[in-house]
Amino acid sequence: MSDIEHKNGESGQYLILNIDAHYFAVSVKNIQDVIRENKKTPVPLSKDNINGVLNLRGHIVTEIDVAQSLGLSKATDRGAGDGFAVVVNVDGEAYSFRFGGVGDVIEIETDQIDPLPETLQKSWHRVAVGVYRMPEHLVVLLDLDMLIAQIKSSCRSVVNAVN
Amino acid sequence: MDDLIQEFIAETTESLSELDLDLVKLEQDPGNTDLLGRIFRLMHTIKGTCGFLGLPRLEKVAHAAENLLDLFRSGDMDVTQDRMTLLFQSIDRVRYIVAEIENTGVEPEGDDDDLIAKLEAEVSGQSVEEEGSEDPVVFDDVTEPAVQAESAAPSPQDPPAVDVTPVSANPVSANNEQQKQNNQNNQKAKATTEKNAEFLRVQVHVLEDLINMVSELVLTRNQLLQLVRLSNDVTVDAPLQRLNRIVSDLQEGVMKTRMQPIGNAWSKLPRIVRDLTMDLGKKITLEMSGEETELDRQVLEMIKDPLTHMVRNSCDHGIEMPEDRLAAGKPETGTIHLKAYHEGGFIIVDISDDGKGLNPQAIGDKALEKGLIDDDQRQTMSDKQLLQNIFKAGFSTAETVTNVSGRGVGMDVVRTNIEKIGGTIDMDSVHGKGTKFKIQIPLTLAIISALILEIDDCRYAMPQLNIQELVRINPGDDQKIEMINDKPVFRLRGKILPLIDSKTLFSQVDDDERGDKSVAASLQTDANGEPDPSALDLNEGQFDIGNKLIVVVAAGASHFGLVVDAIHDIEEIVIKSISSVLSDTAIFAGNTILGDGQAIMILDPAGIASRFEVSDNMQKLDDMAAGHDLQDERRDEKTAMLVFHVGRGAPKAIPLALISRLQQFHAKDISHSGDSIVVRFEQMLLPLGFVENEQTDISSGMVTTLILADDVSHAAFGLMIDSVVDIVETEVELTTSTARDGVIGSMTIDGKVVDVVDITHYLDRSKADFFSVDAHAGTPFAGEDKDGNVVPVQQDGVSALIVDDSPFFRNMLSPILRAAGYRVTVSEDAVSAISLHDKGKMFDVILSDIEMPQMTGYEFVEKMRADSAWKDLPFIALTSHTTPQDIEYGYQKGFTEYIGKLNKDELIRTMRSVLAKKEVKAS
Repeated sequence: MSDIEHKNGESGQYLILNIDAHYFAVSVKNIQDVIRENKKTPVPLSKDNINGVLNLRGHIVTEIDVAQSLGLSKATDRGAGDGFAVVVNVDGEAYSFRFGGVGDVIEIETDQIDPLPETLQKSWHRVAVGVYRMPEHLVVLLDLDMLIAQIKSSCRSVVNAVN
Repeated sequence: MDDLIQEFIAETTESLSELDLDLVKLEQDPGNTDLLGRIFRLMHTIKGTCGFLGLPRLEKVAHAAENLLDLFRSGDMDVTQDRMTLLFQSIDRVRYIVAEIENTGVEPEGDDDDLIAKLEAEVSGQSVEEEGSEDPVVFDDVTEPAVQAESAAPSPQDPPAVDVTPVSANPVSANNEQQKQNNQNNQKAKATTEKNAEFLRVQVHVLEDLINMVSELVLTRNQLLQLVRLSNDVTVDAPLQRLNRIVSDLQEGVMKTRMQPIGNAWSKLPRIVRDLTMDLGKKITLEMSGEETELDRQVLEMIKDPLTHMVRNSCDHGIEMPEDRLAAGKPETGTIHLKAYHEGGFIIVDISDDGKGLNPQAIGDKALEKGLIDDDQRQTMSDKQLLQNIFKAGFSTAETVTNVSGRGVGMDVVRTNIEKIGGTIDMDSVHGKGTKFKIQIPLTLAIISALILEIDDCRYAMPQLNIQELVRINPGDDQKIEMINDKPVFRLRGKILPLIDSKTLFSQVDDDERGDKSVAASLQTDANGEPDPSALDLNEGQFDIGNKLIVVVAAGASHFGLVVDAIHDIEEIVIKSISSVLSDTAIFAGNTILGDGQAIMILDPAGIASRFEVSDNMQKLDDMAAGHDLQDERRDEKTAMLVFHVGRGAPKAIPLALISRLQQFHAKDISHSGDSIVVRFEQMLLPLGFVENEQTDISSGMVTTLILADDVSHAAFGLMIDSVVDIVETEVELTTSTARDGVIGSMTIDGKVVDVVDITHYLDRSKADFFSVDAHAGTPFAGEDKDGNVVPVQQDGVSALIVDDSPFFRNMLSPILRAAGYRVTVSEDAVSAISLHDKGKMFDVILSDIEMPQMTGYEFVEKMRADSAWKDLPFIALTSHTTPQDIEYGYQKGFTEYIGKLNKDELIRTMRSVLAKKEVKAS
């Protein structure tokens, strides 16, 4: 995974999302939509962290389960019917990233972002770019582009293996 | 790169392909001054534009070529092959430089002195000292065309101050831009008058965006329609209908913008053929027809290379050297014919040549040598099967690898490319006569018709193109599912179909196994090597098909049965490509949004086939199951019979080919008029009836009816039945002892006795019902003639020869005649009948089909009548299509009588009267 560039969090507006007691922040710059639980079609043989495809106003969007990607229990398994997802366009393709709940939009400055603790699991290091301290809890800043890049590179390795 | 140069490149590329075509035409028709004028103007335009843009290298080449062309035009020099070759080389050079400019933005390094020297030598060799009559356009002269343009297209702006120096340094100066535009207007005006049509150059992505938007509009419309249908709100009906229609028109219109004439993919071919004839020393003409046939841009791109490759192949391997052709009694010049046309929602492209054809034996040897087939297969394969080997990977028939077609790209690549776009390729070749390829391709790839099916509570779309049929497995039919080496297979009309169920389809296949291309190996490793639970189930033989359906899918050469839970309807779907994070799934071709708004996955038949290795297994499984005895030759002898139940009697059978269609009627639509039962069907009253008065309940529900129709007399009849049992491919061995009214006789199918229905009986009855009362009431079979006179049943010693290519008719007619007391010999075509003649065989009467391969019945009788031992025999024509003209023609050729194939009474009667006449003549 060394080919994925590790970025540091930038200043700007962030949307706070949570999966159970884990809090995350995603830059609002790339967010097209925030959607509620939506009717999805599962895609057999796809990766575990892909929930399926859904129709968002005539566009087909692939839904990524963030909890599963981070090694938490899968959102669908937890029966989280009130889940929220953020729709982000990555390299011309629309993805919906499934979280649990959605919170406020807050302003975060670069100097308020702390580096990730070394002890954090590898799966978090690959997609997280820093930590921000809110009064009541810590928030992990996620780079969703990196999450997609990571899934794509594993797809490619499978395809290469087949060829 | 600036816009000007980009535009220049686009325009020049277009001009160059035109030039290629025109030059080939010019070579064939050197005196055509119009053509010459056009070529000259094109070259001149390229030269002139280069001057503006500061492309000196390109300009020099174009200039030198133009000089030569000018001498042609003035008539000072004749068009010769050498000179044409020189011109072609110049165009290639221009093309190369243009391509380089397109890639790098600048002219490539190097010079073209060699080519220019040759061109100049040619020009000066003709005692023309000055460099052509046209003033060479060098930088200093750049004003000249510009000024012309100014005057031709008066502009309200100030005339541009022509500044020469910046041309090479900075081609984008505003002045130049304007000159260029004016010049272009001028050219466009000329082009318009020439072509008499207006064209607009549009970026492809603009169109693609438009198409995508329309696709979404279509989907939204579908959703809206569905919502309104549910809401019962009538007020929106009218505007919605209008919207519906407009959207459909819009969709059609937008799709048309993607359509291009197939001629665009062919434009390079004349040049390629021309060059190849030079290289190979052959004489070949390329004939093209149907260039205007339009198809989708994307499809066009996909078939361009395969077509080019096949034409190269024809030139290289197909057409012989002129002397060989003469020796073989063919014209010196070979012909390759390209033909495109529409047929049933497809585009058909035929590529045929009159070359040496393919030698099936040589191909068989080669395939054996390359290890593509084994010795057993080599022995048992028919010629047609042997020929199919050329589509296999790693096959090349050329003795020596030439630079023409031996590039390691074989027909397998051609086939793969065509199958990738849902097309098929078929080949027919007669050794010594020529080869014909038939390519069938879909019109468009963007919107397809798909069957929506359900697997594990989830809907999927399967392209309808790939679906051959749907089969429902009834609980009693379980035995049709068998296990071969733990793989479930289904026996469908004697063929073995590998089955794929949802568990298998959606289970992760071991990568090692997936990579393994050897069938035998994969069959062996499965038993112990496959870790997923579905395989274990299969091992225990618990393949539960329950109440499911089998969708028979064809993906190129491979067939498989996909087991599904339910079938929904057929929808026109817009294919959207799947996200790159799903690219490793391999079994999906894309996704789409259905009318109800749900996003669903589109199954990829080719992907599934290659994932489960069913592609090459078919034949092997077939052989394994049948013990190598299912060869094509024997299959040919079989006739598909539809077996059905009606009433309490034995099952009945009718040759499938004789049934026009299967139709269900509502009981309430069926009416009784007098004694007959009729139903309104396709604007006519269709008489209905039962086989042998076996009754079925027609008071309620749906009534299944087999519609029998006679194309010639337009008689039709509906046979009401209880249920269709099966369609069986079987050899017809008819016993006529059970023959009675409406039944020709009996045969055994799968160990059961079934009655074979005499459809003429019912067709005649339908005619009788309308035209005459009781015309055929109770026609008895042999024993009594039409007038009720008892005639001797035995016709001992009378021998008859039946010549018919259809196994069904041979097998049906011979028992009928035998039952009537004739000694019968059958022959499958005229050629083998002639060989019987040559062996000295003699008959009393000959019955011959008209439509037969190799030699028609007309040719056969003419030949026999002309000079043979059979020349005085009665010849009876058997035919299913009779017009008075046909009959007249048949009599002219020498037939004694004409009878309908299916009318056995007439057959027996005619045989008797013909033989009686013969006796009279003899005595």
